[in-house]
Amino acid sequence: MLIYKCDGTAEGVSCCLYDSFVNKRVPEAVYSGSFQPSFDTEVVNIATDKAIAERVRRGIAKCGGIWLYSELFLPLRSYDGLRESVTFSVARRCLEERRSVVTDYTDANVLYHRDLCEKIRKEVHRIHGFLRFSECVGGLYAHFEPDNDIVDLVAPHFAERFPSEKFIIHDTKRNLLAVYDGKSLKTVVNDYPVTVYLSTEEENFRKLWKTYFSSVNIESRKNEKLQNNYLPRRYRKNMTEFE
Amino acid sequence: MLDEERLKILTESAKYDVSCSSSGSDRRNVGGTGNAAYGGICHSFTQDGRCISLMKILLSNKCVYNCLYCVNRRSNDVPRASATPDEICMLVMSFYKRNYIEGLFLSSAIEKSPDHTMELLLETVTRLRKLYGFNGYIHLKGIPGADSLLLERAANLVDRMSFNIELPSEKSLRLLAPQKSASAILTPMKEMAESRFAARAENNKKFLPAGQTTQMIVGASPEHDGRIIRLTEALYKKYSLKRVYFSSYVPTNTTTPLLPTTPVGLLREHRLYQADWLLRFYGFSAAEILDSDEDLDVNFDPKCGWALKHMENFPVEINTAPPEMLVRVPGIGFVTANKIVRARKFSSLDFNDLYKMRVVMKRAVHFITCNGKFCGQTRPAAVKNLLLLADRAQNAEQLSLFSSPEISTSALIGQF
Repeated sequence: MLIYKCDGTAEGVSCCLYDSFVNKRVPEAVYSGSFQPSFDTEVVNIATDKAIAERVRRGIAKCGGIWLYSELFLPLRSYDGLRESVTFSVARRCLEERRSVVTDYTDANVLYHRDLCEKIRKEVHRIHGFLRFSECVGGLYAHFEPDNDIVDLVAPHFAERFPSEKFIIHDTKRNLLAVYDGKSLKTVVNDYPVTVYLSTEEENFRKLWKTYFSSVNIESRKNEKLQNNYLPRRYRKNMTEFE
Repeated sequence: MLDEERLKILTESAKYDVSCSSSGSDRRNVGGTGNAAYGGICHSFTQDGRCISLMKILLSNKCVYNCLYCVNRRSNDVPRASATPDEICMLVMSFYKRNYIEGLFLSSAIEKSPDHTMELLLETVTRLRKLYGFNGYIHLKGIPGADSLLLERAANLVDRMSFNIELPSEKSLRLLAPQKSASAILTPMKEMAESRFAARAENNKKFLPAGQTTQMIVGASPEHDGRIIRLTEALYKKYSLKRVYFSSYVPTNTTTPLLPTTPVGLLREHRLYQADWLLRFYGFSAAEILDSDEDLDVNFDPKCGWALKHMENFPVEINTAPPEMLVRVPGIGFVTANKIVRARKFSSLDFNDLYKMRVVMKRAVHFITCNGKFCGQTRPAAVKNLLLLADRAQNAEQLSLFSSPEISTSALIGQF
């Protein structure tokens, strides 16, 4: 049984694709992190090579444009253990058949791929609503713990919305920061503890928001199951109204 | 600054307005704060499972009207308060900046006269747009009976406006809200629709980009669902409304014999919304869904109900049926129909593929064929029973031998 091991980035998986075509072999699975090998597992480490990755990128673009490239590798942002394997097999089929197969839902891998993409898009959309900023000395600050690695997908929405504000969006799970300085956005890895100083008005507005949140509820229509469906509990620990 | 006390009063008076959607507008940010997302964004969900997208608030709840179904009616003993336009603007800006809300839903009780109230509302939204540079979503309640010039000016600033028709017939309105009249509500609605149409023709996209909506209370008056759905259809067609909202009647501290004392329950409201979706997205007409003196079936959703009455249209062949027919199959919604249409370009689909694509097979199986193969039941009575059973199973309910006569027999004899 053949297994590819790569760094888990789009470039890494692209190099796996290249190896698979050049050496005419198809791995059982592709991993980046740890996995459980069995007796007959043969692990091939695939090094990431930017030049090879670029060739693969152009190859995929020929199958369905640059859109297809970003769509194919979107699931790599997922937390799912099969993300690299699924991405690999769908991308391999595209390259082999020289067309986009991302809508062939009779293929189990394609369905899985779609599900991962949908989950990621859904979470980005949810976070656009659920993120809570605090007014701090020097700008706005928000922290969140998304399931998927999406901080750079979430941030542009807020840069468009608050072009003249400075803000930081902090993924506390992965220690990533999206920083907007009033002009441009960048994502940085952060290894230090983050301390913010709240503005004097902040507490007052939090209180007003909590008041609003509790008074807009209609007691006689209580339906917590519905609430849990729309707003899963794991998101609440970062939201002002559930503090 | 608006204090907690007044915020509470003004929100509690506003919360019975159902609409909270922030969709339909793609307002860009032009050198200020905020923009609108076309699909709308929900920012939180309260315990009742409703979303918070816009900050829903009244400018004042001191009302001169006495509509029997309303919490803010003159004769009701509730705390009263009002806010100034500036107070509202400041709160919106502070909440918006913290990403608590997507925008403002502003309404008001009729404090002195419709014109006076509308002037205050207009002043608030003008300030918010011009002075505070707010480009987020604004939904403004139109005040029936206010001068049309005021309404037009407001429409050029906000994303959406709504005039609530309150009750599903003129007769009920006369009975329960004697100071309001159907024509006072429908006239501005019509004028707005015409002005919007004219603005579009001149390529002016600033006039109500997200159109108009309305709301009616269901269950406070005796109208049948069939009538309500017909009215809804007429509103979509005649006034090109974007949405019609239903709110099931909740007794609000009232003693009048004209109103029922018990709430209607949420199932009826749910069924009406399902029928509303069939009108808006699935290409159904009101006449197809039910007759005007009928109520929607509590056991089946309206699409299932239609399919059961029109078994002659089924089964449809999954591999060739047009999309508009696929979405009429119970158990196949918009998303799954879309998947089917895309996937069948690659290869022909069988039952297993459909199952994997999350078609609700328990329902769909009686209405479809895959490459000519049919696996369901054909007798309408049998299909009905199986669908009932499937629904029960879905709700994880223990099946009782005494639940309903048909099910009990079928369970006993093991046949359908």
